[in-house]
This record gives sequence, structure tokens and C-alpha cells, in this order.
Amino acid sequence: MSAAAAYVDQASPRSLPKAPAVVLGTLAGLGLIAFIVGLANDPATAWRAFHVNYLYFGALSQGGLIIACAFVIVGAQWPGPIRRIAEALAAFVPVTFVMGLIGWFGGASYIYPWRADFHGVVEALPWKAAWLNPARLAIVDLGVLALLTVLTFLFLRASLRPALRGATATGFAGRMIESWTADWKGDAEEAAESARKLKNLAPLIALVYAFGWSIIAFDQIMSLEPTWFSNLFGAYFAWGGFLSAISATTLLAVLHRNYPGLEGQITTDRMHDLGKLIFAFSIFWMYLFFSQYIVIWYGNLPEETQFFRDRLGTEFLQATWYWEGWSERILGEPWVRVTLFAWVCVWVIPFWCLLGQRPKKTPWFLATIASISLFGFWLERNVLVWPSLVPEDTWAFLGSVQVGVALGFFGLFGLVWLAFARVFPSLAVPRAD
Amino acid sequence: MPSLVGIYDAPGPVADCAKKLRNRGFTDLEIYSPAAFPELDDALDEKPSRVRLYTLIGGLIGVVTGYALPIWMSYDWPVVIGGKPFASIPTYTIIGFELTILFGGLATLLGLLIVGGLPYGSFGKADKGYSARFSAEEFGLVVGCSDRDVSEVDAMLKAHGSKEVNVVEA
Amino acid sequence: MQPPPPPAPGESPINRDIMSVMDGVSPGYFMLLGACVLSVVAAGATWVYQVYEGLGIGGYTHPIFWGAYIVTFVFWVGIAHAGTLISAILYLFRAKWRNAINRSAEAMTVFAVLTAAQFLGIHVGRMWKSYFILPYPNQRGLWVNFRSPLEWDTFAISTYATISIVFFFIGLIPDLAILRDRSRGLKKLVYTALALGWQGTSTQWKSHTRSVLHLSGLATPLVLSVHSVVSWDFAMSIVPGWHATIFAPYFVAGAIFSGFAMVLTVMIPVRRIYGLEEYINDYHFENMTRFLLLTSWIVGYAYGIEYFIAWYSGVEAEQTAFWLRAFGPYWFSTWTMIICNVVIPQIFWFKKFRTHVPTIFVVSTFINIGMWFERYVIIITSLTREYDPAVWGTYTPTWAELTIFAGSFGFFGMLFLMFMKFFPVIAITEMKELAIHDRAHAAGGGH
Repeated sequence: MSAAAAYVDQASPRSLPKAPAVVLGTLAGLGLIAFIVGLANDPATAWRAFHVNYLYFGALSQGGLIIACAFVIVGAQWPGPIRRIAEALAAFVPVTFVMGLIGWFGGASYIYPWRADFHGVVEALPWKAAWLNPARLAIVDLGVLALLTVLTFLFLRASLRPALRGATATGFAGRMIESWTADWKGDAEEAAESARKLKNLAPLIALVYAFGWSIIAFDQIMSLEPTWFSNLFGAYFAWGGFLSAISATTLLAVLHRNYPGLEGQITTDRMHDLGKLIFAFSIFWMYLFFSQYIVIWYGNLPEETQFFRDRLGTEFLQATWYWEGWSERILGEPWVRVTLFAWVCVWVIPFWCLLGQRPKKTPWFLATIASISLFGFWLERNVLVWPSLVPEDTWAFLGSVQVGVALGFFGLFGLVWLAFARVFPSLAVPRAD
Repeated sequence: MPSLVGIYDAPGPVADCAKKLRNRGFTDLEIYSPAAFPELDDALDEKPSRVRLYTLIGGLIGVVTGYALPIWMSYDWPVVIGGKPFASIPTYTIIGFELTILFGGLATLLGLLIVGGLPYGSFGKADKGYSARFSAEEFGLVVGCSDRDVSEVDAMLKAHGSKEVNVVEA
Repeated sequence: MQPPPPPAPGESPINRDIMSVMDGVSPGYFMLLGACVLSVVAAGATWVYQVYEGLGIGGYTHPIFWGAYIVTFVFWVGIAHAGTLISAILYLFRAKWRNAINRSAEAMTVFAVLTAAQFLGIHVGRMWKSYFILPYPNQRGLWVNFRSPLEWDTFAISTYATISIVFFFIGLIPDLAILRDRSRGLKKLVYTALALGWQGTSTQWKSHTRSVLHLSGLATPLVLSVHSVVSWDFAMSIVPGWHATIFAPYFVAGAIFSGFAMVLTVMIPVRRIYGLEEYINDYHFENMTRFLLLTSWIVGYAYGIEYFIAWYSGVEAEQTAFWLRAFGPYWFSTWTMIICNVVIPQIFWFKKFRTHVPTIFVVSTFINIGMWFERYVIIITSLTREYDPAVWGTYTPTWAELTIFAGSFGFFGMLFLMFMKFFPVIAITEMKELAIHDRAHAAGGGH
């Protein structure tokens, strides 16, 4: 076992790396343009693409904080600077809140069938008016996002305060550092205080995440098919957010293995551990999926099967399992190919490729698998949302506007992460002096 | 041919000494340890334990059996139950999974026995170099060597912190 | 804290301390063992009577044909989960605090599975035809129905029993060698045979570590699958309150929760009586109670979401089933379950109580009670109130069921008491690993 070199948890601000910042900024700009063009021509498509990406990046960023919380709760010593990388994902949490506001007040009538009544579902669902009504959803869901934003802010400040002490920067970052390290009581006291606060906040945040994002999943995804229900769905979605955050952390950790101050920190052992997390948690994801599927397959009740029928087709529900013409029968139905491809990316590839030890310890390989998993989750989020709204149109999620919006979100997410990790700085690295 | 048993209190020196001895060409080495230590894993043999092969093969046999058995049996005497297809893959996945684990686990046990050379010896008999001290808290490094190397090995064992060296004739 | 210097040649205080549990037997031990044996005998006699008289004395009457025996079966299978969890999952996560408890937890797993499996036989009535559930070639050319969850159960439970015994045994081999080297007479003969000639060579240890790693890797998903399959015995049907997608993870969390509680309930007295305070200390309690708190919240989450979705679904039968759980004839069981499993464990938010042993003992006992009632609620309320109100009924466990239920504790206790006298209750070699490691570090010569 190669022990990592002593890690100095001290922050030092840098400037944004030029090339990535320009690329990400361009993508964000493109996304904005695509969104505006989409709003002008086909607002429904634009808002739905917005909804998918807001959910994907929202759950991912909050998942990043949950990783940090998990490390704190179990008292894990092995991660070292990896916690900082995961934490920085949560810089997007306030943006998620803003996006939630925009999506709700801008696009609700294009996203929620029970809001706009575009499938005539409202008359069919009189009993659901108590839950599926605009005021209730706005208060609860936006309230959850607001609460999580506050908690995230408290957690990040408690976590970073000791590392930021003595860091200098100008402008906004400088003022932030100053305010986050105000009233310094002394190094030892502050470290103890930080540890104490994190110990208290971590379980609380994990709970709010589990309940809050379950409710969001019920309200903002399950309700898109208003007659469908599954009580595992919230946990399934929240787990996906957590797992995608682990993949993102792994990818970023590998990309930062030569970053000044982190040299020798992203050790083989740490990559091995991250690989194990992706491997094990993707199995758990598969388990959650299967738990939903087998119950619904076996029960074969119409109010439950509709969700899988829209995504996996009828063959996966009333399967006859004969070989003749399997490709047309199975793949021929709308959305099935996309769903299966997402499944391959999220489970099949990570499982079979990370089975051994060596793949987990090979940086480029691990990063590739993490990227595939991230892409798979993006697809999976699309599959969760689109087929409820356009069950017949397999490629509804692909189009210049849809891809543009996705790239825009990606650019914005990357920029926020970079700004938080490098400029503000949460990626704590040794100082020059 | 005599064997020398060096006795130690910690695993680190045992591993270092074993590596030195191997570099000097001594191959008849054995390490006794009261518990598992990662330091000692590669001291005599760098290759990963072959147990992993057993688990893999056992698991693969299990998964194939777990799907094949119910599919074949369902078709051997076809009865429609609950409107489900004969080859109900989702449910047979559960059988496939359980048998993967069962066969994989049993193969792992088999692997441990074969690779670890167990069951070893007859009742109560053990190797000459072994003693109950190694099931207390001490480590033993046993070196088989020719008579003229005895003094050299003895010096090496002691140089690595062996607190006593016993000679066992074999 | 400075670790003590190495012991004298051939001496090991760890061997001595842990093996001291196996020395001698006190009158108290015999009384406890006697009580266990008596309850097993009473349960056995009741069972014979039930075979003679019919399942009716077990409270089985329309519409209830899954009663307290199945509740108890699920209860014991649940208990069986903590052992593998502690051994396998915490091993993979390299949680050091598992060392003190993994051996006894693994033993409890094996004993609890053995206890649980008997209830299937008791429940089906004609126990001597139990082999019908196995796919064996027969002259009628019939095979079992692999589409039935009960068949999955056969495979899951027998796999779990086999693998947990293998896991337990592999972990025990090095300790058996220690016992072999330190016993005489008949005992030595038995330990020699069981230790398989283990000498602790580096090759053996290397394969041993590998095997434990692999078995942990296999056992971890197995734990998830076993209680999931048990949950699917219910969830595959369309009985209101049973047909729920959340059942599998919810049952697994509940199983781990109850298993951990049982480990604490059993180990706290053992620790006290045999003076193992040094080996099972505040550090272990702190972590185990945190874990209880976590699983309590997962179980609480499932309770909440079940109620919410039952209401949200708009399916009248589901809504009624859940209304009746809380306010129907079995309201007492439901509120007992909620209070014991969700409310009481919240006391562990306070650090003071996480290391206060009497509190932990009391709370873990309450959790055991609550978890039995959880299964009671799930099974009984749903079966007594199915779709057609004309066939609604009521059910109360009979004396026969309660006697056999009590006997199951006796059986479990009997096996555990015997285990304590014949095998080390704490994994000796794992404690040595830590002790020697610390010593090497303190000496500065280690890695």
C-alpha cells in the first residue's frame, strides 16, 4: 500500500484556467441561445429539455454534497482531497434552486400534463387534485430546494473555513474568503468547531436529501404520468443522483491528478476505492431498478405497467420470449433502444469493466467508465421524463434545441465548478510560500 | 538438511528478511504468522492468490446453471402458470443470481483449501518448523539450507531483528 | 495510548482473554441453558401435537393462512442479516469497529437462519413432505414452479444458509488452530480435525484474505437478495398493502436494523459477564448506535413513503389497507412498530446515550419487539382485510404459536450458549492483527 504524501488542506486562489473556461463559457452561451430559439419556435420542447437537465445536474450537484456528508458520517479517512472535489459539485446547488424557480414559473404548463391538461388527464384524476396542484408543488418543492441551498451553504462554509484561513484573493473571491473566515478564534478551536458542525450537519443533510429529492422525483417526474405510482421511485431517483455524483467526482479526481498541490494525492489506492464505489453502487442501482421492475412485471396491473410500457415496450411486460423476429419486436417499439442503451451505460459497462482490480487502478480507463456512467445517467433522466410526455416519439430528446440546452447546462455547471474549485477556492492546495 | 527458524515480533522485518533471502537464492522458505498482514502477502510470492480464479469459474458455472435449469425444466413439462411465459427470464434471474453466489462461494472455499494446501498433514502433525508460538503472537521465518549456509542464514535472520534462531534438523 | 510491549515468548494475552470465556461453566450458565432447552422441548411437544391435531391449533383459519409462524420466520431471517452485514459489508468498507463483534454476529447469522428455516416446515404442516420444494427428478416427470416466489425463497434461504456457514467456518479456521495448539484430549482431536492443519503460513494467509474478500463480495449482494426475495413472497401478490415496489429495499433495511439490534441485545450481557469491556468498548457502541439510527431512518422513510403513495395512488383498496393499519383492529401493532422502530431510536441523536450501555440494551430490545410487530402488521392486517369485505376476518396468535415462538428464542439461545463454550466469541486473529500492527507502529519499525 503506497501511503499518500502528507496532504496540506490549505486553499490558495488561482485564476480560471483559460482554455476550459472559454470552452465551457461558449457552451453555456450556446445553450442560452438554443433555449431562446427553442422558446420562440417550440416552447414545449425547450422547456422539457430544460426540465431534464435541471433534474440531472440538480441531483448530481446535491449528490456531491451527499458524498461529503457520507465521508463525514462514517468518519472515512481514505478520501483526503477527494472530499473537496465532491464538495465543489455542490456549488451548483443554489443554481439548481434558481433553475427550479425558472422552470416552474416559466414552463410548468409545458411540462406537467396535469397542469396544462394536454392529455385530458385532469378529469380522470379528481382525487389527485389535493396533491397535484400548483400551489402545493411550488411551496413544497421550491421549499425543499431552498432549504437544501441553505444547508449546503452552511456545510460548505463549515467545511472550508479552516482551509481558507490566510488565503488571499482580490475581488469577489477575496470578499468571500474574508467573510467566511471572519471572527477567527484560533487554528485548533476552528478545526474542532468545523468538525463538530460537520458532524451535526451531515446526517441532517442526508435526511433532507433523501426525503426532499424523493418528493421532487414524485412531483416532477412521476406526476408526468399522473396515473402511475411506485413507492420506490423516489429512492431510485435519489440514488441515481448520488451515483452520478460519484462518477463525476471520480472523473474530476482523475483529471486533477497532476493539478498543482494535488500531485501524488490521487493515488492508486484512492482511485481503486472510487472505482469500487462506482462498481458497488451501480449494482445497488440495478437492484433498485429490478425491485421496481419485478414487482410491476409480476403484478401486471395496468396502472403500474404503463410506465414500463412507455419505456421498455410491451415485450418486457408480457414477454413471450421466442426468438423469431426478436429485434423488431423488442427494439421496434418506441423508446426501447434508448432505454436499453442507458441501461448499458449505467450498469452493464461499469459492472463488467470494473470487475477486476486493474481496471479500477488505471486512470484513463476509470475516467472513461465514469464518463460513460455520467452520460448514461443523462440518458436515463431523459428516458424518465420524455416518454411520459411524448410516448410515440423515440428521438424527441435529440434535436438541436435539446442538445443545445444540455450543452448549455453542462457549460454552466462546469463554469460554476471551476470557479468554486479554483478561484474561490475549495480545492485546497499548498501555498507557494 | 537443517532448517533455521527465526522468531520475530513484527511482520515488517520478516518480509524484509524473506525478500533478502530470496535475492540470495534461498528458495526453501516458509513464513508463519499469527494473523494476516499485507506486508507478508508478497514476501514469498508476488503473484496474486489463485483463489480468484476459482471464484470466477464457480460464479460463471452458477449463473449458467441458474438460468438453464429453470428454463429447461419449464419446457420439459410445460404448464402455464399465472399467464407467465415458460421462460420467465425476470424470475429466473433470481435463481440465476442465487446460484451464482452459491457456486461462487463454494468454489471459493474449494480454492482456499487447494491453494492453501488444506487439509494439511495428519492429526496433530505439523511441519518441523511450526510451533504453538506462531499461534500466539510471534512470527517465524523458516529457511531450509545446506549445512555450509547455516551461519550465513543465521546472521541474516539476526540482522533483521530475529530475537532467537533455532535449528531444526529435517 | 502506548501499546504494551510484546508478550513473553509463546504467550498471548489476547488468546488468554478471549479463550477465558470458554473456560468452566457457572451455575448461571447451566440455568440459562436449561431454560433454553426446556422451551425448545415445550415447542417440540407443541409441534408434535400440532402435527397430530392439525394446523387449526396454530390459529390458521379462513382468511388467515399465513400467521405468526410466517411472522416469526421473517423475523429470524431478518436477524440473520446483521452477521453478514457486519462481516462482509463493513469488511469491504474497512470499518475497524467490526472486529470485536463480527464473530458473534456471524454465529448469530448461522443460528438465526437455522431457526428461521424450521418455521417454514412448521408452517406448511406436513413437514415430512418439505422436499417437494426441491427440483428433484421424479417418476411423474414434474418439476417445481420456478415462477413462484416461494421457490425463489428455497433457493435464497438455502444459499444464504450455506454461504453464511462457509463464511463463518473460513473465518474460524485460524482460531481453531489456536485452540488446537492449546487443548488436550478429545477436544484437541476435534479442533485438530476442524482446523484442517492450518499453520498460518504466508501462502495460507494470502489465500485466506483473498477468500474472505471474495466471500464478502459475494455475500454482500446475497444479503440484499435474501430479504428481497422474502419481501417478494408478499410483493408479487396483489394483496393490498403487499404489492409495493419499495418492499425489497425496505425489508432489507429492516432486516439489518433488527439484526444489529439483536447483536447488541446479545452481546451486551456477554460482554458484561465475561469482562470483555476492553474488546467491545465505547468506540464500538458509538458506531453501532449510529448505524441503528441510520437504519431506523431508512425504515421510517419506507413507512412514510408507503402511506403517502397509498394515498396518492388513488387505489381504494390500498388506501383502505393503510387506513386500517393505523386505525383498524390492529392499530396497537402498528403504533408499537412505529414507536419502537422510529421514535425510540431517535434517542441516539444524543452522544450521551450512544455510549450509555443500559440505554442501548433497552432500546435494542425495543427494536426487536418493534420489528416483530412490523412483520405482524404487514402480514396480518393485509390478510384479514383483503378486497372483499365479506371475507374479512380477525386473527390472534394461539397458545401453540406463542409456545413455538418462545421455543425459537430458546433454540437460538441454546445454540449461542453452546457456541460460546466451544468457539471464541471474538475473532482472535483479527484482534491480534490490530494489536501487533499498533505495536509495530509504536516501535517505529512497522510500515
